[in-house]
Amino acid sequence: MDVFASVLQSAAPLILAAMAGLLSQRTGIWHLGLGGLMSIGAMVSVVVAKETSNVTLAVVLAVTASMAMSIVMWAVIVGLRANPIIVGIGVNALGAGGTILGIVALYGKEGTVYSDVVLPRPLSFLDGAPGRLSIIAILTPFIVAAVWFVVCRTRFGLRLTAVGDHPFAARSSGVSLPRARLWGLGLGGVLAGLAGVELALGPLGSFSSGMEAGRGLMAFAAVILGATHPIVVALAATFFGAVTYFGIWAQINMVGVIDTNLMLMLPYVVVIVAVVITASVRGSAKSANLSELREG
Amino acid sequence: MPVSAVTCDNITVKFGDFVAIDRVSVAFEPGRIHALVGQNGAGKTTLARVVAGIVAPAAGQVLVAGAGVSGGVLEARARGVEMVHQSFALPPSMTVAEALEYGSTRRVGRIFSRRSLNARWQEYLDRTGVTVSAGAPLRDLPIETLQAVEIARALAGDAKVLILDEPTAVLPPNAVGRLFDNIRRLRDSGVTVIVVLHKVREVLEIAETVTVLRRGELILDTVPSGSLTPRGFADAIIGSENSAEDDAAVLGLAEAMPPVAVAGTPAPSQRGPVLARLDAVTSPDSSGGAGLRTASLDLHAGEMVGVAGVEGNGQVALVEVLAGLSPASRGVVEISGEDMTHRGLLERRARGLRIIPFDRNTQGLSSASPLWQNWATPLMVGSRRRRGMVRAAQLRREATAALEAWDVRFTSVNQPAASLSGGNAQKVILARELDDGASVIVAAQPTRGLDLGAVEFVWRALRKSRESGASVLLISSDLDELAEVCDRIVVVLGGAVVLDVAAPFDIGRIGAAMTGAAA
Repeated sequence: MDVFASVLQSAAPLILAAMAGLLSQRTGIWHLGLGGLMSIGAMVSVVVAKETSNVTLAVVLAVTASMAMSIVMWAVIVGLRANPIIVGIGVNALGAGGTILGIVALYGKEGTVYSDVVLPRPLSFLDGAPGRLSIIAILTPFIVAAVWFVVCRTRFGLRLTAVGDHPFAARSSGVSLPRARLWGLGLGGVLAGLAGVELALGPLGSFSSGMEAGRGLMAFAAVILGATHPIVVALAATFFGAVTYFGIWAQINMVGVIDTNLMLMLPYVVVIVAVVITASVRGSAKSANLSELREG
Repeated sequence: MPVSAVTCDNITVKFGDFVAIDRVSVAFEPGRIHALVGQNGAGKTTLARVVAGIVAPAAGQVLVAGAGVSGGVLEARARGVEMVHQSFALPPSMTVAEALEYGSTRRVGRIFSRRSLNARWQEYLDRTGVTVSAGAPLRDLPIETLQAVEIARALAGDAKVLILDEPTAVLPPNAVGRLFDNIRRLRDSGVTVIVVLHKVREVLEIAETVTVLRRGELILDTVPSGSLTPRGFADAIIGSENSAEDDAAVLGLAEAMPPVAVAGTPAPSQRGPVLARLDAVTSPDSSGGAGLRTASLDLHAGEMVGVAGVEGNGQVALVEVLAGLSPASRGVVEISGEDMTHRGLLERRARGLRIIPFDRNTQGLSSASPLWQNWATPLMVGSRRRRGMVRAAQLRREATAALEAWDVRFTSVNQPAASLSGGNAQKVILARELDDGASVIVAAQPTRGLDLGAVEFVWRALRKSRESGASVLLISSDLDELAEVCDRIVVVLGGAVVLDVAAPFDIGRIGAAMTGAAA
């Protein structure tokens, strides 16, 4: 039970970010800016929680900030026809640099910001890891189910998929490509913001620059591994979360047995190996066709 | 006089500076089958898309049943105008039912279970006589079924006007008849059908009225098709300044004539020794369709061999295996008598293999690179220049001379390949590939998308290579083209060579072999 809860806690931000990447990918936009959105969500949530002690307000503002950033991405990609991959990398850099700037501007110095309040823990009557699960971590499986339902079981979801799959087909049956991509990126912004909130206000109650630590790119890798199917993507993200958890566990419990730096590398190595294996099994990703994305 | 089903009022469409449609006004009567005809680039697809609301005109207006439509696709669809695209606009990752559902404008069923979705659309497909499982993934379906699904999708709403863009281009010959039967049935049920076509023979078979576009201008305006002779019709499409015989062949009139060699071409010379051989070659499937299945093929000197087949039946694999780009998992590939099965493209080129690839813009040319580099690539990566040095000035001079000799219309050898029109781009590839050392020439769809003059140019170039003793393998989805220029036709089906016949050709038998009906 402890292990399950710990893995869920470690995987929840990855799963949520992967769901965000999936919605964007379904509309044909490779979302490499997930990490940036998570950083923004994490910083805003901790700062607001620290200053107001109001967790609800912290969550709402963090999600709003992430969504606003997503809509800026949408405007740059769809409105100005910028390359989504470059924009995504830009958003990542902005998330890393901008949050440091924000902390320095607010508190005059770099460093970890602590909040006195954290997300509610509905299972706190239980001992051990399950008791420490935040409300967002507990809701994560339900959010995955909701994303699956919307994407696979509604006409709205089929339209998002059609936009990424065959933009001309979607356009010629009357689906607005810009609007579908706004939905994909906007809803993705909400989920990536939640991922950031969980990362900062879930187990820790603090924000430090760089705490996102490549999770955005791991989540993106999960989207590719899972071929944009919500359940498979969530499983891939959970797997990465489990490896991350194992790395942390090994740092604590296997001191002197394995070099800790090797253990810290573990999740990233596993991601690369997994992507290589699936790529060779499935053949090169045909969806990498960027010219198709320019359509419309 | 009844109100026209669709009226185009003074429509002009521009892409940048290019005028695709120039002040075209035409009215289509309801309940009839109208053909919209023209050469490649004449603007027929563009005009069809304007009617469907997909392309917005720069000037002019479309009226459906007498009322103006300006709100794009959704309004056009709400008024009952549906379009079926040439290469089918169906998202490949979806199942049949999902593809039918996503664009649906019905109010019910926005949220569904998989079972209810499949049941609902299966019932519709059964009712409209399309034999396919609603749960089948689209990427597994044959072309003819995809087309049936696409038409069913278009008719799922309350379609009053159905536009079909080149529906016959992707079909094997015997499926065309079935398609035409369906079109007539639709007309009888009151649907106005506008069919974009470019083959005269098909137009005369199906259409009740004919509208001809040439270079974006209206030439014939819904003339009753009965009043047209093939000859006058071809003149309207091409313009009278062009020569008659070869153009007639291009337009698909040739089938009605005996398969004679074109004037000025000597009868096929005695075929010489085998220059290239595939011996029971099997290769893996790829994104281009089926791999080869124990395919055997001999290519003789002085012979032009056509490869017929419905697209995706091994044509791509055939080119890739010959080029060494795709491995032969079993069997032997010989070029000029030597076993080349495990040799790379450069060694094969050194023995005379030349490739005119399927897509000239992405495979044949580097569109961002200057013309001289595109032309000189084999010289730069091949063996002729020493020590890896590129003598740019000399290559520029040679390129200029070669491109001029091949009648490429260009201003400078430094201009990027992307700046050339389709016909000129193909000429650059011909200038590069059909050099003196060429002995085995693989031409994959070399005339696709070209205008008549350029088609004729490509044919002449290939014939000349054949007469100088090279062996030419011509892959084309246009059976009339193959029958016109080839000495021998092989048919591929599912990666296997299922038929190998010499001229004169029995088109019906070849068509049957293409679909796997008994040859």
